[in-house]
Amino acid sequence: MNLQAKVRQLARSSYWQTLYRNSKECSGINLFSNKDNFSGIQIEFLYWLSVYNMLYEELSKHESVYLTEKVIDSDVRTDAYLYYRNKKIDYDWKQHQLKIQKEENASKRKRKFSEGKQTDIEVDLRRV
Amino acid sequence: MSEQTVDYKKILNKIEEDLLSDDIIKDNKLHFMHNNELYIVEMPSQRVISNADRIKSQKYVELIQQPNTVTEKKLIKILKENQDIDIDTMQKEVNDIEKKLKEEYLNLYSKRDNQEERIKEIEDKIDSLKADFRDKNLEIAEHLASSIETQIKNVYMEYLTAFCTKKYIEKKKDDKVIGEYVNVWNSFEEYADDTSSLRYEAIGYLTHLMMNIRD
Repeated sequence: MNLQAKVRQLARSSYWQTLYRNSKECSGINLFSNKDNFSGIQIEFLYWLSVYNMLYEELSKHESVYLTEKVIDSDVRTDAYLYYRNKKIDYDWKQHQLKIQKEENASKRKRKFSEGKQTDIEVDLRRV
Repeated sequence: MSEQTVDYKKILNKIEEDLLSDDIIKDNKLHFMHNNELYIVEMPSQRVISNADRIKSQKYVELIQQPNTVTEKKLIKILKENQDIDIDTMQKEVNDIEKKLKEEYLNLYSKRDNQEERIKEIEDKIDSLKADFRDKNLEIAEHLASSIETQIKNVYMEYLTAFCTKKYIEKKKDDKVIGEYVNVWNSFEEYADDTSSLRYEAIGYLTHLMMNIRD
């Protein structure tokens, strides 16, 4: 085990997860002895606390068929799941943007078409 | 301090073992033992960081004026022309490994818990790719170690270590024993002159404590 694996093991433990959840609701709970000048290890730990908190929430809501307790217990499987999750969010966002773009284009075409008809009539009238 | 032969591998192993304690997150310090005495490295204050930045800038100006020191960019060129060591190609290899790693992640995420053999197979591949990634990056770092950029980064970390390492001592006051942490080195020069393995251990702990959040 290396330092990062240790930090992640602590972050996903029920002790720290409970403390983290409660610290968000009760301002009196301090996670560390120091209140500022956090070490790199502490910042890394806070990052993983929030990541595992999000994963446990997703797990409890059965948000993904790929996320299980065993996935969370394995660093490498969690990394794989997080990579897939980010890609999926990115893909969904792009699809959403594409849909909006398509709808906008369709309404623009519609507007242009009706505006175009009026212009045609104006031109025709001048010629006459 | 007495002069010792520094066994870097032994120091690194010791640090790695020490850092598996649950205490590593409780505050912004790391405790360690050296020759049966207790030491800590602590996060640098803003004042120490500002001084370290100043020392780094001074070192940069000093190095660019020296004839035998080169920037990373120039060193990459020299290595390619004179030694046939192509850092750009090595960097491309690192990027390729990263790409393969991502592909393996996409193979792994969809595996169900009961596909143990397949999961193990992919995990082994990922482990091996990570080892290649680390080795290749280390190789690049070793080749670029003499560049100005690496040297000033080292000076910066050494300066921080000099002022963020403390030793636990006990003092007698009014028949009471009071414990306190005092600076190991009183100046950067004193730190630089120390040839014991303590300075290397301390820099190792501080690097881990900061986890490269600042440079």
